[in-house]
Amino acid sequence: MGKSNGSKQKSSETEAQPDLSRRNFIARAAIGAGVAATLGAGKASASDAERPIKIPDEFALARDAAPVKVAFPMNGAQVFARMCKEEGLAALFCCPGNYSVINAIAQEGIPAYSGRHEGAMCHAADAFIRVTGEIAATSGTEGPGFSDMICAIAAANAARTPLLVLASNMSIQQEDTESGIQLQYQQPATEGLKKYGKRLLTPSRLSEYTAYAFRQLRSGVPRPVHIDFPSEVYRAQFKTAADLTYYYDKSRYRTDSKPHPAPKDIRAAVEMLKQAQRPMIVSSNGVFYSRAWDALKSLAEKAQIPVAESGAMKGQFSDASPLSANAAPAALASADVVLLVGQYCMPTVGEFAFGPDAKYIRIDPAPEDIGRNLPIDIGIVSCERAALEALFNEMPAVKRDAWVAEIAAARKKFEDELDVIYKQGLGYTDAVHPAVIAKELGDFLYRGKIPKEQTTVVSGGYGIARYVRRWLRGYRPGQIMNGAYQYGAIGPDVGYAIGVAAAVRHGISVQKPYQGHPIVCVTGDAGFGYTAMEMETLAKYRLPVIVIVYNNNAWGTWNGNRANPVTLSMHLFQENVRYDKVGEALGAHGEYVTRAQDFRPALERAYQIAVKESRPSVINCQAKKEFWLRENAPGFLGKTEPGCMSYFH
Amino acid sequence: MRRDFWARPSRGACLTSTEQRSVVSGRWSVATNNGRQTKSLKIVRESLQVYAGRGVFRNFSEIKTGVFSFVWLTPYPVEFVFDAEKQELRFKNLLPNVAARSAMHRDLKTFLQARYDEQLPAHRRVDMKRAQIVCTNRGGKISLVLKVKNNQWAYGVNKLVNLVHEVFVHLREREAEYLAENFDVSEE
Repeated sequence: MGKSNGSKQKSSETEAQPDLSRRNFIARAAIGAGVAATLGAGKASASDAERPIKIPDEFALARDAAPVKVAFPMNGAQVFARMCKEEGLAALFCCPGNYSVINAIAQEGIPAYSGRHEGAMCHAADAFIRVTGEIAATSGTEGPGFSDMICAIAAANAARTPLLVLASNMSIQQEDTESGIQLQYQQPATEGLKKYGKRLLTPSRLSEYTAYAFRQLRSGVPRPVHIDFPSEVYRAQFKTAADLTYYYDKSRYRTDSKPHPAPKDIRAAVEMLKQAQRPMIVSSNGVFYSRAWDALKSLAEKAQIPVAESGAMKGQFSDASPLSANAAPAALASADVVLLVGQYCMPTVGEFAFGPDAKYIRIDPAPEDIGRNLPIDIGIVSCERAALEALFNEMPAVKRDAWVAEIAAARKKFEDELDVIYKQGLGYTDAVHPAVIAKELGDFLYRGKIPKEQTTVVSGGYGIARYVRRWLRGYRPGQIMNGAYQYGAIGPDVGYAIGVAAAVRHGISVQKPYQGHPIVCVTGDAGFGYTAMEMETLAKYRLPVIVIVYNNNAWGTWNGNRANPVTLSMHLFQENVRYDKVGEALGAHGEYVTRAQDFRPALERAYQIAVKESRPSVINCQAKKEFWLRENAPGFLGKTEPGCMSYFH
Repeated sequence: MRRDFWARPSRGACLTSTEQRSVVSGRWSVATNNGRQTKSLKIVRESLQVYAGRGVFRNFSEIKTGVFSFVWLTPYPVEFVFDAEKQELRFKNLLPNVAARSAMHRDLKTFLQARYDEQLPAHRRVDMKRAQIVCTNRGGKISLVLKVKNNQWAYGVNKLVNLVHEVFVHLREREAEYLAENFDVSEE
């Protein structure tokens, strides 16, 4: 450290004393966590306390501000925002940039959240959609902000999320010039990662292409839609609606009508299901987006068909039902007919646990996808809800007591295995085993004081996911957000937590009954490293998220390199990193848990802080990488359950 | 099962053990037995073709009489052998790089033994009266064999195919790293 704000040179002794300088404060913020951890000096000094982390008053002002009424004449950004509002755009997650558009959206009264990294905020929008079924937007600035979003767009694409991606794009006039900074031709960068994309070129066609965007977002199998705005479009002035081509009500440019199943297809499916001895339904994304959970329940109960869930979110079929096959993996190979409903991301042969003799009926709104990857016996092109309702109407009541008993026995077997794993985990006293975290979290969420359907969970991480997901349960739609899902990105979890917490805060859609309650996010130390700065975003918006960090000092890949001294270190971090202190430094509450028995009390404290202060927490669970070794039973678990043994499809 | 049932014939080496048994028993002629083998092979072939026709097996072909190759649970082809002489069906060298008496090998044998378990539902169980599971490990390559009794070839094909499926589900749960290293299966 050199000179302070004054010119006086300080000795090291002097520097050890409390110092109120801004430089010292910043230096402490940068290095303080590690030093404090090492020295055991976790308490803030008196001088630090005089500069507490403070949420600017502007946040309250923004929260209380009324939407701005805008009427023609409007600029392009305002026209676009108005159409988004009329389409029911439910939220915006962004970083500063694309200013005209994001400001116009916020001024329409659409909840708008701004974070630290465009990628994390894009993940937030993805997660918001996956637990509400409503459309949200994400936005970044030209070139760099947009390119920061690419991984998150890809993850949303794999999850089949109807995400509206917005990005500004300098001006058409500057195209190909490299004039100034941040120019990028965006649309090719999202090739293969979107359902539809358009660079807006003609100002008067703005409304026409906005209609294109929402038609794509609200029909068929959803995926991201990417619209980029050159300044000539968002700054264009429109005196009246007549200056815009095709500017009219949404009922004129799209329909809410859905494809219904052909009667002969339904009859064929009913016949196959009647003949089946051990049928099973796989309920996935399409059931959620078509809000078909009631139809699913009715059909399952009438025909005694067990249900396993897959997809980017879980909870459409309650795990409290005796027909839930989620936690009954041993029974899956017994199914003789599998009814796949809204399974947009289709596994290949052998990825599901269903046996080679199983026949498949697939319900999907996209005929071009039916039969891809997994051969079918019957394909039904339809909205999932319409097809399930038609099947319910045609299907006679059937009793399948033996099959339901087999499911129950498999569930019991699975639960017994979990007990064994938990007891093995409790046997480790030098670090917190993931089985302890998973079991204790499950007990807290479902068997304690909280109603079991209340808490929405971001289920992330890699190694820790193999444990936690075995104990997680879904009791209502939108209760579990299935992490990075098929794209397999490491690190979106804290970003996801922003979106889920925002959805719960505002009580959007299926989250309405749980409005304002805390949520839980589970992640690993590798993943936390990517989006940890978003703890600051959670803190500044007072989003009550409990982030559980499984800290085993390593990437999940380390054990594959354990015998190679040359490569092993590439898979390791420093040991005992204090992620809880990182959280504290960013305005969250921190807990550092090093013993199994301390996890539950830490969770209770974090929950109380979430309830009383609406403040996020980081619970840093100190584990060790060696838990993944076979000799440390139960070791690294394989397939992530519960589900149908293809959790990421 | 009698030990000498599987012994090579000391005389008449041109005869298969099945043929020798037939001759000794005096019930079947060699010609009849060849006809039976042809019929058995036809049953096996047709049973496998059902899976190929349904798209469960890809790149299905009979590379020589009674030896089938197809892609199924991994990106790599597997070899399925109909052995009339030994009265068995075999997934040859199904699992490479499994050391004999290793933890994985022991676990696999335990898993296979449990396929006879009375507690398993009947549709998942292997009936010892109709077939017997054998797991061989030669040079670290595991082959899964089903010895078929009383010419129940259709039963045998169905049970062995389902058995291999269950083995891979089991490995995905217990040996994700092994599958990633040996079969490029994603460690999801």
